[in-house]
Amino acid sequence: MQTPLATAIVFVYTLSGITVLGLLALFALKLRNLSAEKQARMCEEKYRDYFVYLQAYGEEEERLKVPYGEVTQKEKQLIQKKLFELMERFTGVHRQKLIQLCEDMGLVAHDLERLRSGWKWTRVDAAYNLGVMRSGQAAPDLLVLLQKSGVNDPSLFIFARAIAKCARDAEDLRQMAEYVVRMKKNVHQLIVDMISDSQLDTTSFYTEWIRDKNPELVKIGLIGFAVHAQLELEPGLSRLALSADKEVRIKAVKLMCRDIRYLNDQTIKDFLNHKDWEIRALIVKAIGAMQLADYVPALKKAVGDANWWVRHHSARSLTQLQAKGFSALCDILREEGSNPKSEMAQQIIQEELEKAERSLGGEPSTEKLLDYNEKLHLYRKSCKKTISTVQAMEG
Amino acid sequence: MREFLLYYGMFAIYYVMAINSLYFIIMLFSFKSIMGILKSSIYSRFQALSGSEHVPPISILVPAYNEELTIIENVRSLLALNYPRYEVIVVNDGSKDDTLQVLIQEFSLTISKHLPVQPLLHTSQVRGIYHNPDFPNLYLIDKENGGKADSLNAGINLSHYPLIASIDADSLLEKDALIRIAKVYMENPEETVAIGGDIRIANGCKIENGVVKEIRLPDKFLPMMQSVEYLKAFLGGRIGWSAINGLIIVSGAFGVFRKDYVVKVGGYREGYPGEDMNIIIKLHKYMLENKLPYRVAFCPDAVCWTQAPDSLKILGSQRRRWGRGNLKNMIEYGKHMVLRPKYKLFGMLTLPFNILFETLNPYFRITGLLALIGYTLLDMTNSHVLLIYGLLNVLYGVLLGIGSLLLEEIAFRRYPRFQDIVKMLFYTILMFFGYRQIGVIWRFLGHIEYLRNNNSWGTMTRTSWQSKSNKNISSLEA
Repeated sequence: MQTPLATAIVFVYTLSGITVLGLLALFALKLRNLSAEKQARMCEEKYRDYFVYLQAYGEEEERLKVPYGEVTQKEKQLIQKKLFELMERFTGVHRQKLIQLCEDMGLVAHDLERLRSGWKWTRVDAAYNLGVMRSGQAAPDLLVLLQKSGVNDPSLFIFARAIAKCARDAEDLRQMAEYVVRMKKNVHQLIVDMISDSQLDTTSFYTEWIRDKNPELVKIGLIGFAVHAQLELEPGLSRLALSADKEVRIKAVKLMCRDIRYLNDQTIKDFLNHKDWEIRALIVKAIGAMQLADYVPALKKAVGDANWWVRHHSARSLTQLQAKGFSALCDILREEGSNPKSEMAQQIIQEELEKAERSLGGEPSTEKLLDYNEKLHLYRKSCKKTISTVQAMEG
Repeated sequence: MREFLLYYGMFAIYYVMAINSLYFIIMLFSFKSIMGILKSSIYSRFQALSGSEHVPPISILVPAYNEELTIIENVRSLLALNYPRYEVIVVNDGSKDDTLQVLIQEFSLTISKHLPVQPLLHTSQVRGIYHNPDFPNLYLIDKENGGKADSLNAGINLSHYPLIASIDADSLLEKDALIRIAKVYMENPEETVAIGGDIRIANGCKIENGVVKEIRLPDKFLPMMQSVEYLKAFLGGRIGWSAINGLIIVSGAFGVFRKDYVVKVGGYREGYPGEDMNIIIKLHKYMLENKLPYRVAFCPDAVCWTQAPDSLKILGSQRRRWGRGNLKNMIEYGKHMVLRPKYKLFGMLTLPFNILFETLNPYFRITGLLALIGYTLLDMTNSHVLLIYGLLNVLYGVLLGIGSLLLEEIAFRRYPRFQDIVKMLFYTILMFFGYRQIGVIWRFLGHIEYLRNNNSWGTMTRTSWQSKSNKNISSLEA
């Protein structure tokens, strides 16, 4: 029995040793953190007037001056933090002048050097800093670092965002985007968000990416394209609506449904009969939003779609098409027995009547009163409801 | 007899060594991940992201049963989150107090009996849905009592967005908690099916208008113990488990899920506690059986503050419920998934670990201690065996506590004062002199309740965030 017990005793001694080391590390870390906070407060106090100067003279023509006297490396780091806060707050000339100041203080050069450090987290810190300082010089090195990041490496997105901020041209952004989508699936939204940090005009290259052969870039292009209001039609969208990639199809149709110029009669019919429920839902929603009253019969049919969302959006769109649409909804009640189609119509009608009734509170306008009476009349007429039922509902 | 007691005692000693060594290894995974979490957190521009149109919209589900004291503050804090597009769906689970009335009054809600609801999951009868266009992203479902899981399922049916967040009605989210979780999701939307947030104890903190204004450790003994306990479990344990995709639970107090997968696995299980663990096990099972790449993530910088029970009666009731829920889940899924290669790390490590070291923990610990006490009484010259057993328990526990505090100090630093660290260390040690033992007994009693088919939720106490007055209520009686 001696041996197992001896092992346990060795364990006790080992644990005691590690516990003492852990305790020392914990106290040392806490004291270091407290000391760093104190230093930061002192630095803030020392350079208070300087920070006021930076904010006050941001719009002036002359270059911002570097702090007076000798500045230690630690103080430089703390000033850099403050400068970053200001850069996040200001845009345009003010930000540009702060970036210039960072260069004059040697902060950009220092971080460019740290970007080649042997320590991973020093490189990550430097990458972030260079991104905030929009250093075009750093872009090539950042791209190299990005391409060394693994799929589960949390620094992947830190490098990617830094590249977006430092990008010199569309090619830098393209390389970044291509690498990130190779590493991670379905991160297109995040990539567009990162690219929105770029100083470049992104509208033109989103249009280019839509026409690209790489479907991943096409998806990013479609999302980016949606952010900017477009005056001109993009002919490629109709082709993309037929893409073999479901996500591309949906994103392209989503864009098309925002502009009536893309939607001719045949396109609308194709979308209404599309195999993807998402596309059917998009088009029925668009018909309501664009007030295309000619499609009331098509919407009425779509209220009986197999998918709940298509049914829901079709019924809602019908309510947006004034009396004709509402009447079509009421007709469904009369024509159909108890099935999902009539249930949806019933729910939306009741909701509309409740909404219209609520809007009568206080002193209702004649327009609202007429709207409510018309809906009630249509409901009563189509469903052949007894006066008492309607009155009960009104009450 | 003496020999048998000694052998069994030795087994208990090795059991303690094994369980704690595994915890220690999991904690090492936490240390491995912590720098990445820290850098990713401080270099993410959450303020800018919270205004971005590229962030996915989320439906926040708040099940509420007799929550009249805390619900208004909770909803107000949720309506003030830094997040671009979200809705708050409060589900009144047939409360017997004025939960429904205070909400209707506070937010001037009116009933919409016919608001379209997608019939995705079966729930108890919904009596009505309340809404006010002045608060366009707030909905209130009033339904018959059916339990927490049933309320969450009702919330899912009404939800309009692809992600759902479950939040306890007695908890407060930090303003940027949701955007932090969303960032984790956005970095891997294809595979992420669930993300858990970090739960911390709010007792002692200064709270104004549903927002934690000043972070302080609890003054009372039991909430303080739970503070240390939660820190250990969430930072020391869950970061590590999520690093190897072996997380078995996302706390019911705050978690975000992909709605489509929650619906595919049949929603939350009704009628039994432990629904937060159950949904995660079902997600693992579904994804592994269908060979889909996935991960269950943990986001330690997304913080949710919750009220900890401050009396032995309430705490005991909570822990017995946890014990029952854990046992039910292990019996239900253990027999199908444990040591089946098809279920990969989850079936080969997470579940066996949970069964051996969580579910069966009370039996081995209690009987081991009794065996060693018996052995020592029979032969006082060998009392050092008992001492070694005690030392191993305390030392390993303290070491794991120090590890969690180190993680906290490296990455989060929520407790700014030096004395906070000292106080937490003191309670980490104190925990092993009574509190842990009573916890083991509660878990054991929970198992007995399970065998007796006792399925009530017991008593819970809610304290208003604004006043100190307590009110005893039964929570979520199913």
